Amino acid sequence: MIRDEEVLETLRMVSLENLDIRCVTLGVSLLDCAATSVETVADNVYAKLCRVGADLVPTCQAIERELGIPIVNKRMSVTPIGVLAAACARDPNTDLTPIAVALDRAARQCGVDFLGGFSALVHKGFTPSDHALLNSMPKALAATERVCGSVSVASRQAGVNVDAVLRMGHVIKDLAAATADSDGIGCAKLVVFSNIPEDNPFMAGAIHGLGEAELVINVGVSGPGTVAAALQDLGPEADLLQVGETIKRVAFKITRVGALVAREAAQRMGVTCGIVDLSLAPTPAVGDSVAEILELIGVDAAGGPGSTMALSLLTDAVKKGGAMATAAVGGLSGAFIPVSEDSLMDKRAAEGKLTIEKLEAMTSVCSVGLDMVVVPGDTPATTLAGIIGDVMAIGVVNGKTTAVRIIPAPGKAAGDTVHFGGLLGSGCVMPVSTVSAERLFRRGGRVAPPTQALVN
Amino acid sequence: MKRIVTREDIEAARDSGRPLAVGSEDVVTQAARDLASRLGVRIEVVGVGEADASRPTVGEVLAGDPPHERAVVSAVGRNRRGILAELTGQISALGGNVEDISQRIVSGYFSAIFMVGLEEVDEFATFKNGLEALSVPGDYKVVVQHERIFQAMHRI
Repeated sequence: MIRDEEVLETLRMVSLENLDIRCVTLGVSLLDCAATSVETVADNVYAKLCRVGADLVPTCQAIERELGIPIVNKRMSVTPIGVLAAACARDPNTDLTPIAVALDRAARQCGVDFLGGFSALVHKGFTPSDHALLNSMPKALAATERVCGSVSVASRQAGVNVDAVLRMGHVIKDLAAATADSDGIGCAKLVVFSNIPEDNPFMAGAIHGLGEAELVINVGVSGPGTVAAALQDLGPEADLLQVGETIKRVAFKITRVGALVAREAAQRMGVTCGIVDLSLAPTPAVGDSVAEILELIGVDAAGGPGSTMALSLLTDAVKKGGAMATAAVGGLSGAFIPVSEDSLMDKRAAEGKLTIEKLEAMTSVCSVGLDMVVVPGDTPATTLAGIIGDVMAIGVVNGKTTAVRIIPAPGKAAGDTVHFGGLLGSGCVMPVSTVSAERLFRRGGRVAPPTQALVN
Repeated sequence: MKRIVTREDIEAARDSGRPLAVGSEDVVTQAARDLASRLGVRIEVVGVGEADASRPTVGEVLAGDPPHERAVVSAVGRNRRGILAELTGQISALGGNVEDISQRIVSGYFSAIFMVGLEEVDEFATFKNGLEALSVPGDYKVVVQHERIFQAMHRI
């Protein structure tokens, strides 16, 4: 029988500490939608997504009601469109925007808030359809509301595709310009990856990888507020081992709920149950912040000395607690430290206590390190490429996923503020180094994979 | 004659490599059933025919009971006369069966947790909405959740 204190603990976590399931994401293989014309692909994609995705939102709502826990976002991820479009985009100048529009319509029809997969895998090289996708990216993401894109430009086995990194610098600038009237919000829907996970349920970087089943449910858990509350109860006298143990216990409980929701959703929809992503994902809501956890652990202000160590402790404890709680862990499974989506993180950036360089360092111990970072609109594409390249190198050498979601807000200068609204929050424009990376990127080519890749 | 089928019978059947034949009147223990499913030993019911219709056959028992589903109903608010009757009355009216209750009053505040069996509840959503509708802002609040979330969080 369930004990009173267990009932009360669950109620407190949900009602006072913002415990929720951050996302239930239905991964859909679109490979059977391939065709030789863009219009046919768009029609096929729309028809299939409407068919397989119709039950997603009602199913999640029923689970929310029964378990009494909010499922904040219902989403879909699809086969990378750069792959799907191979037969219809033999010419790199083919406009793939109609496919993005079809994805957007399907997302709206199914009631999902974001759909990920307008993506290309170019960590070693480009196909003509990859070129077409990247050429279409600014227009496609500006013309759609719910479609997210991601591009894999590096992997441990392939090294860093420097041409792709530079290309992304330009794509991001063009996308910012195409959405200039809303401070470059289009860039909030685009992530650049090294070692891209194929089963990530979180946006904007979700794709349905080529090794996945036809239809898969993946779940992303959340709960920074719950972890923060537990650390508050623990108090400042506990040593760091005790801090880790406390976080592990909370992570276990959070993840058990995630695993339950994943099982229920997959079973009710009759699809494969995929993974639970053990990421602490903050929101702009007060009390739902990863920066707050770092400060509760003991750093005076997130971004100060000790932040990387505190974050490594947090990420590690979340994984250890979570791994015990679910049969299948996957996705990104590392804390997110987005600036604009985490109100305290944004405050520390505005105070100048959190810099881009520190975020880059913290990338080495979490998943998406440079996330929702707003920089001045006049930042050159080569400087964006330099920032991305640094983060990619960390991922390649350490054999881990790293990612960049950066927004050069048109017309804004360091110290200004932009408001994106909703989960994307608002962000201060962070200053960027003025040292040029142009000569480096003019060389082009690839950075070869490290010897750690030679494991066979 | 009625026979009790135990783990030893399952092990013997495994060793013989043949399915285990049991009569319709025989009783197969839970431990034996669990072992049979773990070892992959098939249990075949023979001689089903004139058995007493009112009693479940071995075949039915082997199919297992439907899962016993429960809801956890929690209510917190200002104490006043009749509050418990109001809640239990509504639970009963909606088809729920109160199996356990824990209730206390601390400095004028009332808190109660009910474990409610759902055998006779047709639709969980109707049950939940019907009870949560009792919530009155400033008076008390009712939350209905399926037992599964508590088992997931607090039981390994």
